[in-house]
Amino acid sequence: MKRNSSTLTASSRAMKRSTSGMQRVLHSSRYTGSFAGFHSRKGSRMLSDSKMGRSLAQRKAIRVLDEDGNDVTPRPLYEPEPKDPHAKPQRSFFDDYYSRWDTSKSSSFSIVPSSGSRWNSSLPSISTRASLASQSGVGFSKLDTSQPLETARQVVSQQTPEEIPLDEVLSIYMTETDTIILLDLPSTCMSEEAENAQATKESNILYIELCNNRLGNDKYVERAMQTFVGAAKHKKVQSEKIVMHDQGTIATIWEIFDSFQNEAPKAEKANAVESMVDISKDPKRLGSFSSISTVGTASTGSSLFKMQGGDMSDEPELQVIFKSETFQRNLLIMERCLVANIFQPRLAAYRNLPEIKELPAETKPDSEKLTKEDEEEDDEEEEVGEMGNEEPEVKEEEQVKKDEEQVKKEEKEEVEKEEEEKEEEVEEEPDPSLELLWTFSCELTKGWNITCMAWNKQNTDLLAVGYGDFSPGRKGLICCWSIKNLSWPERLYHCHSGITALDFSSSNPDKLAVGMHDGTVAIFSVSDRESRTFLASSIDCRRRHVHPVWHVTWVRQEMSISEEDVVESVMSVSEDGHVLKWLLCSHGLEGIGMLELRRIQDGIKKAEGNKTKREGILVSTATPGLCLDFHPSDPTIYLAGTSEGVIHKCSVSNHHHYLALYQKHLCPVNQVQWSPFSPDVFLSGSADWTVQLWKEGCLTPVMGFTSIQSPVLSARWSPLWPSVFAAIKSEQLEIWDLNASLLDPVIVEPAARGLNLTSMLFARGSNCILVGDSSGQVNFYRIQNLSVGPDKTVPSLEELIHFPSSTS
Amino acid sequence: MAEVEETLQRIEAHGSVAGTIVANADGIPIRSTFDSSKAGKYADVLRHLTAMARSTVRDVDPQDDLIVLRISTKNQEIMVAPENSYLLILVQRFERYARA
Repeated sequence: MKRNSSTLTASSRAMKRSTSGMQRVLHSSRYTGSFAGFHSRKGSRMLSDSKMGRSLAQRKAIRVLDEDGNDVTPRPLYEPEPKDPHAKPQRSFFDDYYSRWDTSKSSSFSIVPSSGSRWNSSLPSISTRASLASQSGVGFSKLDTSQPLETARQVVSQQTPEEIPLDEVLSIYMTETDTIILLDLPSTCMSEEAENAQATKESNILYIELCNNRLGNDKYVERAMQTFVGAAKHKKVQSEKIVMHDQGTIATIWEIFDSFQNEAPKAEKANAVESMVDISKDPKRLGSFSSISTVGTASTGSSLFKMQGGDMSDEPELQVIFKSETFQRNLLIMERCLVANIFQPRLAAYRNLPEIKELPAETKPDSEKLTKEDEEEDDEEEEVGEMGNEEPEVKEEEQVKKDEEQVKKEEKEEVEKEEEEKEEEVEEEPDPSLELLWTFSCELTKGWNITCMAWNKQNTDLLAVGYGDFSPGRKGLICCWSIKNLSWPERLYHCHSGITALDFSSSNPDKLAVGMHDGTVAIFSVSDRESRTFLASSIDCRRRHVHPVWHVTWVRQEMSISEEDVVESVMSVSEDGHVLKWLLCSHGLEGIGMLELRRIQDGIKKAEGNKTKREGILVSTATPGLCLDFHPSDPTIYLAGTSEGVIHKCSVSNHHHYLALYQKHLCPVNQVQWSPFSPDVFLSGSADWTVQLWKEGCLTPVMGFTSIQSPVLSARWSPLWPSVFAAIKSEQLEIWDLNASLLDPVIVEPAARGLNLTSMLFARGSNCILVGDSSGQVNFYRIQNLSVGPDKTVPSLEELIHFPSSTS
Repeated sequence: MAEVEETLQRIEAHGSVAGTIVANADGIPIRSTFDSSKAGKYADVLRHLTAMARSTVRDVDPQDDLIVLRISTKNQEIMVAPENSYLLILVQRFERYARA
């Protein structure tokens, strides 16, 4: 350390002189009214006055140089920033202390002692400088303090670029600094042997005499003083209320997850780990469900206000909520839950699920019927009209498929009949019967005639139903019903013409092909909730039907082996006799002619032995085609039934000629269907009251079935049992089991009074059958107690055909 | 918009539905078929429960989320669908039949 011998050369003279004065000054500060101090003060004042004047006149920075001429100007303790215009050096304690007795600036100067006076020069000097600066005020401070500052800084900055070489041996001198005295309380006693002892003694004696003389002396007068106590003034300060909010959060796993998802903006909230007991203090992530105590009360207050204040603020909120998609989705789910709750037992029966007991039932106007039914059914099936849930907690939509019993007034009679049947056969092996589960019907569909139904290939709960009348000019309706919601269709499409045929695509499960009464073939996309109309239609096509389209089917057409694309196209057959293939291109449908169904006339009979062969000759007149069915395994072969009663077996590749003719029916063939189990067996239902069973290759039917004398509107194989098929006539539904009986249908279900049954479909994955009637209702029946249960061995159809067994 | 209204009305028109409440995030019913005090009570009580349920579901798997909370009680079934900005409550009531 350098020798800190900072002697202020400029003022050293003054210092020496005033040293003693300073001592006395200190003394005097303690003993107020002492003369000695007074004198010294005066002296010092005079001295400092001159000094002061000089300094003021100079207006220069004070620089202190030591003996060697080095600049040892002490830097001020406080160095205000040069840029800060308001920075004022703070007055140190010393300033206040010393400036008290001296209004002029002199005293501060006098205090600056040399090192010899046992005061650290730097401190007071800084204070001097500082006080000088503050008291003078006029730009002086800036110059004063900033200059040494800058020089110091410059010095500093100059020093840094120089690097201290590490190799050199540095010699460091350590010296003892001068003693720094921080507090000096000189004693009040003096030694007897001190120099001034005598003088002090004498002055003490004088003082004692003075005190003694005071009493009764004229020189001294008692005077009283009174200090004025100023009136106290109360001053109050009030600040605005600082509103405090408590905010807490729990770092749950999902919250951390969410914050990672959303990164920065939410990151700060997620990391606040505060353990709060009240879980209600969830953060805004939960969608401002945070109930904070203070805010909670505020919100209830505001809520009251809101409720009283009318709906003005609520309306737009409601609108916003309504528009949100999630609301719509939730509504949908709710509705499904609701309906499912009501219909739980029936849905369970449909899906072969066990039923939930203790489910409350819906109160219906015909509740007494319900109770009666319940009592009856109680014996057998333990179905009580009650409702319940498996878990009262979180439930996915899919779990909500429970069954329900719903009795509609129209079906009351049928149901009662069934129950009577059931009751009779409680103990014995029950007869096969149909049980009505529910009905798809709503106000919109009331009165419409159902013409066709089709299941969605992918979503087995979705059913498309086509409604239409065959009077020209009457509109058509397509409803897509879902089993999850029995009370309202999922989709509703209005069409300009009655619907006559429907089919869902298997490769694009949302595409629905529709054939209409005026010959239009259209394709709808069911997945889009918003769309109200078809994707493409054949209205503007060059090649199109002009007569009612009676059947549409999606067919997978495999392209060449190199392309593994499976393109699906729609094949339609219509009353004008054309079989057209439709492709969905970018600009709509495109029709390609496949075949024209021609009339067949009986040709010359050839006698070949005992057999008479009839050869059919094609005539150029087209004949209306009524139905179409592709072979389940060979997509190139299809059957077309005509209104003549002839079934053409055709090929996709042959556009002009049929492959085979099946002639038996005398009236229009309404339905042909290949058996899903036997590859070469098919069924045909015709208006000549019969259903014929054919085998491919054999030009006459193997078996024929008749029941009542009424045209067969539809005949279909059951997808579950190879020997079961159903036929529908306008008065009744018949279910035939070839295993049980070849002569009579096993189950006959008559239509309700006044209604005509018009279409029929088997349910997939379930032993249910759907029947559509002329009043717009689709009834779901469950087939019960058929002797061909899945657990019983089923003889193949082939055997049946070849060896028909007669059973009772 | 209209469709939503229609669906909501259809739900409300069901015989077994005791009422529906659409409440905003603070638990104040905006639209309700119950009277306001009852609706307020339902909304207030249920939003805490659904928050808890939702927290539970998401704790187990953060990618999962609560869709519907169904509470079956002796007299009724309460279905709550929570969302960030609203709460949809449906109350379905039934008559229980005495079993023989």
